[in-house]
Amino acid sequence: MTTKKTRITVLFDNLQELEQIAPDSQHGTNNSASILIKGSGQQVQYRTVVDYVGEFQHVRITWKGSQNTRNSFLEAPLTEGLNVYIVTGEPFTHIKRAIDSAKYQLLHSGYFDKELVRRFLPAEIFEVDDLDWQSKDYDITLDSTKQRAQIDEFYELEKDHDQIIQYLDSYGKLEVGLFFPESPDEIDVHLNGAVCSWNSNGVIEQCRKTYLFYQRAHVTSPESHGVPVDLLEPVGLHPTLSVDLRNRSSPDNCGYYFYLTTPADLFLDKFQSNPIFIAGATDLEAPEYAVTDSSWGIEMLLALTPEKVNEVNLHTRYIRPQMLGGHKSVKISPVIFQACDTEYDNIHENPFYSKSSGFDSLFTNNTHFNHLNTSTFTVNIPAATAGAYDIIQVGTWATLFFSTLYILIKIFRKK
Amino acid sequence: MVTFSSRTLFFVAFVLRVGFFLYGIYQDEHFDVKYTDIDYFVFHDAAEYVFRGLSPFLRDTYRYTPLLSWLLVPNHYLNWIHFGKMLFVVFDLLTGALILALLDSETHRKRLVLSSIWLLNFMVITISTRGNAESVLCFLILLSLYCLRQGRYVVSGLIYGLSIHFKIYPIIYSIPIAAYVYFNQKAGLGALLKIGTATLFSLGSCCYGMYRLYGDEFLDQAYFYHLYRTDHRHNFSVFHMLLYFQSALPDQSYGAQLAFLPQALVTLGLSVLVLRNRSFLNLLCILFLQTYAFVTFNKVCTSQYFIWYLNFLPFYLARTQLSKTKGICIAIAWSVTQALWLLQGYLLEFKGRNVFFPGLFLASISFFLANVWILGQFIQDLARSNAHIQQKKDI
Repeated sequence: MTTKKTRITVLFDNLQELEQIAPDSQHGTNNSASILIKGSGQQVQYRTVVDYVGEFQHVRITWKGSQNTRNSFLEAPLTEGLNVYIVTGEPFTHIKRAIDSAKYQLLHSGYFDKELVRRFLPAEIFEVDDLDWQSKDYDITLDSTKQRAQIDEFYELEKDHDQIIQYLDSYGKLEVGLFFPESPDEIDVHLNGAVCSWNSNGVIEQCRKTYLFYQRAHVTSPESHGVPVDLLEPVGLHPTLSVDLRNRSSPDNCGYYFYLTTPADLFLDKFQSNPIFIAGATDLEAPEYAVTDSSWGIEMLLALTPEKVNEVNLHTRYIRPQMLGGHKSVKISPVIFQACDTEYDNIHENPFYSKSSGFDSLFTNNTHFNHLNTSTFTVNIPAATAGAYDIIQVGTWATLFFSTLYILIKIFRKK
Repeated sequence: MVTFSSRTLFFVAFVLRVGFFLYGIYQDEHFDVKYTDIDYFVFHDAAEYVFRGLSPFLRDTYRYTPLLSWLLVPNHYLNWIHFGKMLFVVFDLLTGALILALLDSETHRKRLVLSSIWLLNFMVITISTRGNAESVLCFLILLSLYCLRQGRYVVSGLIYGLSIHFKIYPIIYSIPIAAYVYFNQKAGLGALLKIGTATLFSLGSCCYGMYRLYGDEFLDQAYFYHLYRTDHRHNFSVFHMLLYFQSALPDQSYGAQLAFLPQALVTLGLSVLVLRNRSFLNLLCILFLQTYAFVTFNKVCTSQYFIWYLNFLPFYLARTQLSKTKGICIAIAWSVTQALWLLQGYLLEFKGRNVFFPGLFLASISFFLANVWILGQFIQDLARSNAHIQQKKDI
């Protein structure tokens, strides 16, 4: 037995834009059945909530495509790629290849791995093939305690494309919020607009004026390019990221941080860099192919020092030889942010998202995050040429055989 | 006896080490590339665990005897990370003093020149001032040999056992030392029993003591690890590429398990040379050749391994009959092939260039072949030298 609710939230730039697009429906008159929105890059959160009685793990699945760079009041800053955060509870069961983080186990994929999603998202709740991962971001939460699944889609309405919102049976109960922001500041968010609901006949029942006010935990700094982050050249086998905080000072209640999740091709020497938190493939000697069975990668959080250039030294592991040699490209997206204590204890939750994954789970609920840089870098790791292995084996053993023979002859010849 | 000249030599050696040591502190504070050896931080961190009453093996990659971490505990008492380096420099100078003492059959000038190979050697000075612990082991080995020459077999055995406990490889000296003691007219079987028992006692009690304190982790990290380790990362060894592929593609590999065989054959074979000349200086020469062979044929080889044979080099040079031309050829072969390898290593490590094949592979083979040729020349030279001595005796 499942019950379903759908909530669509559209965020306009301002009141004029909102009024131009759907004046009639907004006021809920004349038995309108639909809302027509002319696309101009509005941000949309499309939330589906399914109450489902069944067996599933407590999981959060997020997907952020590399080309999606939205910064919205509606969307939590998601980590690049596909991330599966699993809360296993008691007794603790290690999920194969997951990073055992502080509050969850983390699996990651640089691409949208449907099989991985299917492992945790029951088809009865949502069919993976229905997810439009190429143009949308996803934040899916399966709450085993509440027996509820929440699927949030994030996308932008394409310019000059009409979007008609009307009732469909598959929506269950439908609610549509149309908002525009009013004088937001660093933490406070004021959203003004209306919320419309449909009756079971597919007609808009009512649209009521609504004003939302909440504190948000994540802000992308308008000076986001003001904190330069560079991958120092030459990169070699020890990539070094430099974070320039020379123009930054830090109030007493704030600190600067570097957060990174990366595949096991790279690692951080915890004795060299002294991270605040590190989990996953932390072995300092093993090659990549020897650690990936136990962990796909590594998660780390480091404190940065303001008023100086900080360097974070990473190291590459040896990778499996490839038939034609060459290099393996590994993308890394460090998150540089400032975290500040606030007086708001409920900042971790708002009507659109809640904190619970990624680096924010390593901080207290009243922490506010100011994102300073989220650039992506590529590290190329050389791989030996697998095709040359036979020559290497024969060459090495022949050299050893004749060398040993030569030395033994020298030893046993008297002059 | 310490004369003015040897005092001068030690003074210069000491000043050089102090200079390198101070420069190291400066470089560590002002440059991105640190002077201090990465392993020194491992020793230092392990010593901190000991200082806090914990096991040094809590430090990842600490794979040495706990005694080494104990030596560095004052780093934390004094809250000065560089104390251990000073200690290593002291052992380095004491090694120089032992070289000088063991060369006492040579002329005074020759002794000074030969011991300068260690005392004024920039490679030796750099390695100890960077915080590498090899000088402790070099000191123990030479001290054991010094006692052996004095006929103090029990003390020699005790120190020799300690050196094996410190690092396993000095065990390769056991056969030539045993042969030397056994065939020595003054010593014989009794002396062999004394030194053998003392060695076993010292080695056994050190290992047992450490085992009691740190359990299986001590055995696994300090000893067993060195047997099952696969050194996949690039190093001078001819086995490097083979082991990298073997670790990544075990199904397609053959023979990597036998990597120890050529090393064992050559190292053991060299022990035979003791029988050709039973003098103590000849024993030192054989230990030099054995170490050279061991390092050349080893599964892993880095610059610090060269120190292992450098402390015996003065004894070999004291007897050599190599011509200057051949000596220069040897030096060129060693340096050029090593430089070739270092270039490939630089391109891989610092430029990220894929030079595994053929660049690094051929460079490793070239360096190995150069070392094998050099070893061959040394063996031939020692044989000639022994024949020459025999001829003199016969006359």
